[in-house]
Amino acid sequence: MSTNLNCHVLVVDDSPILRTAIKKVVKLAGVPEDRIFEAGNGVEALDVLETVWIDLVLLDLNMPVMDGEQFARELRNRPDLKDVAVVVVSTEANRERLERMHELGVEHTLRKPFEPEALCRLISDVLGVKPA
Amino acid sequence: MDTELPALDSNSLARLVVEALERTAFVLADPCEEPEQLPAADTFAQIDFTGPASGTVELRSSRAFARNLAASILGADQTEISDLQSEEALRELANIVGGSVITALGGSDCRFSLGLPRLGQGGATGDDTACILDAEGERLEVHCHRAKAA
Repeated sequence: MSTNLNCHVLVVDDSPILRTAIKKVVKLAGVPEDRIFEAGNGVEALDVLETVWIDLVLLDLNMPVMDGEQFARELRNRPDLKDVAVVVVSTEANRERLERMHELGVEHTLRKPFEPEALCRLISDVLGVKPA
Repeated sequence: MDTELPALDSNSLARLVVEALERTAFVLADPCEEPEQLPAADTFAQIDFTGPASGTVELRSSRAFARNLAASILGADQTEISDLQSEEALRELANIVGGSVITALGGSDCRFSLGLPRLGQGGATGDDTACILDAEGERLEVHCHRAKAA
């Protein structure tokens, strides 16, 4: 894909190696490298959101310090951040927890392991951009 | 309270792991008929699950497997991979395989939850379903231990 997406993406995952892998896919989807940010847990993610405008958060759920569900709840409680798009990228399979995420306005979930193309498509869908 | 887990046999477990490897890192693996031919396991990672039943998914691999895995995930040369990155890759694979296992056990109404993956020493105990894979000449063992009911 060669479309240059004019957006900012935040990758939140406690695994540095997965963050690196996901960032590569986001770049493949057309987001310039300098517009891709990362955080290792929900607290770090909120810190990023306070300093940079983010269009899309790719969110792991099982993380130390502040997990993905706590982060999403915090996000929705903040008037300036409540509309930020969130996609869960996680191994999470618990139906009740995924339903709680849905109630928090998180409509898209990508289960690990995922194919890079699936994440590219999802990013394009959520941001309303057609892949090149 | 522990209840009977749905069946997860060695072949099903191996399929889950092979798919996880292919999707996550483009690493190819097959069940191994002669595991004694593979290098010994010296790197371990595990993740606990709780819910209708509890247990642990444990990965035991050769150091070289973990290094190959990290290199594949990062798209880097194996010589650039540190021990820390190797361990991190195996820990993340434990997370991913753990997610696949609880999905297989729980189906569409999954009530299992995962803990956080961690490095281990090997030797988690309990009722065991296991598979041994030949991953491009390196060893990857996966054990699914169900905790004994109290």
